[in-house]
Amino acid sequence: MDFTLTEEQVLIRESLSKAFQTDYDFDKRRAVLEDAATFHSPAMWSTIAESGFTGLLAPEDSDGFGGGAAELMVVAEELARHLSLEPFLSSAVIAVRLLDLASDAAERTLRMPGLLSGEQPGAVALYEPGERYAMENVATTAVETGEGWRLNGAKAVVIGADAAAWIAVSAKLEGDDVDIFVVETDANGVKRNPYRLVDGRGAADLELKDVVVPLSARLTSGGDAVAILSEVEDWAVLTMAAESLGAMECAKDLTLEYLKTRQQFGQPIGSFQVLQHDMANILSEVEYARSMVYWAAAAMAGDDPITRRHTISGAKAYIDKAARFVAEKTVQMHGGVGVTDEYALSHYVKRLTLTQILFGDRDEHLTRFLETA
Amino acid sequence: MQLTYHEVQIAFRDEVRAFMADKAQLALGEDARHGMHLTKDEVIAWHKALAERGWIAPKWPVEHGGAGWDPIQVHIFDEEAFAAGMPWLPNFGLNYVGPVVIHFGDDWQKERFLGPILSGDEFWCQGFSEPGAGSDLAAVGTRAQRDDDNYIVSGQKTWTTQAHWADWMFTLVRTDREVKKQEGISFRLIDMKSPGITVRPIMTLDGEHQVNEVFIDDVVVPAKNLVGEENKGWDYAKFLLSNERTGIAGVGQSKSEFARLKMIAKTEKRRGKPLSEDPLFQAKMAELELELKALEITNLRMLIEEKDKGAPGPISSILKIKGSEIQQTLATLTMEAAGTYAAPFIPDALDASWNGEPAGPAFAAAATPYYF
Repeated sequence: MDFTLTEEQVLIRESLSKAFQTDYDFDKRRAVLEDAATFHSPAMWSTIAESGFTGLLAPEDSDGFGGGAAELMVVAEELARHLSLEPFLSSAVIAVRLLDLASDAAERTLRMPGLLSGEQPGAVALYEPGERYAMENVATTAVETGEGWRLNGAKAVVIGADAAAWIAVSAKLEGDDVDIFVVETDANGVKRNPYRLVDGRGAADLELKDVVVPLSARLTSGGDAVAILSEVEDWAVLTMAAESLGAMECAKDLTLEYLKTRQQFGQPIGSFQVLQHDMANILSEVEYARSMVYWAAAAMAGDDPITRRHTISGAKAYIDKAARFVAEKTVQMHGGVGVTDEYALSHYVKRLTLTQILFGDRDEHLTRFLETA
Repeated sequence: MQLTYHEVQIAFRDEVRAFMADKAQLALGEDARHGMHLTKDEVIAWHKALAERGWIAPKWPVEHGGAGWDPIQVHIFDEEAFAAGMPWLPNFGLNYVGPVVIHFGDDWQKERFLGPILSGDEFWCQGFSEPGAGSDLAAVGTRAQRDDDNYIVSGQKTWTTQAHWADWMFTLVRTDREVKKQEGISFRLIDMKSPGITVRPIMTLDGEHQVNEVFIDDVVVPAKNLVGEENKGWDYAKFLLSNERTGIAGVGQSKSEFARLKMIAKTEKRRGKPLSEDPLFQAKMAELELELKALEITNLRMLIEEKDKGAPGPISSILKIKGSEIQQTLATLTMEAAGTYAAPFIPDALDASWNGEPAGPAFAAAATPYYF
């Protein structure tokens, strides 16, 4: 057992960090956040792609880096530290893993280069309105028309759908099998309602009205869609866990600094014992959360799907609790300045709020943890 | 011991309830109950209705245009107003500076300021906090220096709620630097239209503009705007903050929000079943309900003590903490109830005039901003 990063993993972290430090400081990022049309920075996104990070989880025979859970953990933590708004999660994690797991060679050959170059980002719709995190509840339908499939239905909060060239959706066939289909976002009958999420990243609700796709757009057969989407979702959950850790680390560091510099009643507020106790609890929560991220990453690398889901869900439930504690405490310890938009803490708090919501909240993952025990 | 209202209190409650029913057209719609921005028209209509009825200033003495209610009556009114979905009046004039002027102001100040507060024609903000004086309020650095019939005031205030709407600001200013910090503070009223006042918005993480920085650069303030005695401002500030105690538990608001959350839990589903049947969510709701009940009865104990003895007693200081925790839990559970639809963040959707396309159920738009 070894918890130190390999030389290669350290290099990944440092090169990513360097790219963000130069082109994506707090003020430059705020300008991206104010753009009402494009929810991320196309310049930063091409830097990420050119440096190969879009191919982190793609296999080497698709010209990817062939990385795994440990590399993803390192990258996601770093992206959260820099409050990245880029569609890495939706395209480089979710879409890449889906293409790898679900598609035949033809689709993979067709779409993977666009994901890796960053020019044709993808997204995957996991949930439907009113169904919360129940991926198996699919009301969207697919009917065979002879030359293709006709899709009808709606999808909820599809992360990265605002910027995607294509979106994979699950749909129910005659006979109740669920399969996955690829839809071009500019196809007739596709309607997106784009918005920013709590942390500023883009997403959209999706409406499909008599959308016709070719036969080749069907990525799965025999109804194994839910199993594949579950594995894709687990990759997304691991990303959330590592992002949460990165944001917690930064919130913690900002608070430590504030305790040393902020004066009240003639002394630094860090000299008050009640705040020292709070700080000690924060430090300990962040360390335990880090351990749980390692646990989740190790399970993701294993090959038993039940153990994988059990561990991923257990880790997410634990980390969500830590994230809520750290977010709420660090704001309280800052007082008013903690909630202002011009101070970085509020942006980490938003990140920590979002990571608790996406891909299953604490209650959902506690339930899954029990179900898979 | 009697744990129910007396007959006369029930009669009062029925009178208030009948008034709310009569003014039902002023109540906010179900979606707007919580989190949606109130329009100025909604606030003014409710203010005027209460002013006409003589109920706009529940705690003020009758001779100054108040309702002269006792603390229990104020509480009953709050509960009924929230239950009926009436707009909440964020009013620094009525609740804060008004009572100070009534108790410590001179005749000219009463004549000049109380009328427009009651009518809603003048809006106030509170200039207390400063960049270096937050929890340590007495560390006020804003200075006032005598210049014939005026004072020249310079300094900076921060976290000033609704300064961008306000006509007037009541402030604490330093008038003596030689004495203990609490003893050199005076209470002054400043016209926000004075040259030298600059208001800069502070945007908060919920995407809102409620608070501001207020820069005060050599602002001329007439000597007659000093309330009470020079260097006694700290006493008036303490009086003002003690008035804040009644109502801080937020029982009326929390009860109304809890009722709303129960409705939401019946329609939002987890794994195909309503949240109201989900064991994890049910347990959290039950715990919250008990916390709220403990708060409600403790609050009534304080109110009765205040009514009988004229002061709320030490129990009042525990109400704010529990009351805030309950409001935080309500916000958290509402956000959790929204599920994936707590993730979209569209602050504009909270404006009544917004005509974009909403994401998810109507209550979800305000759920996360309100949690913040």
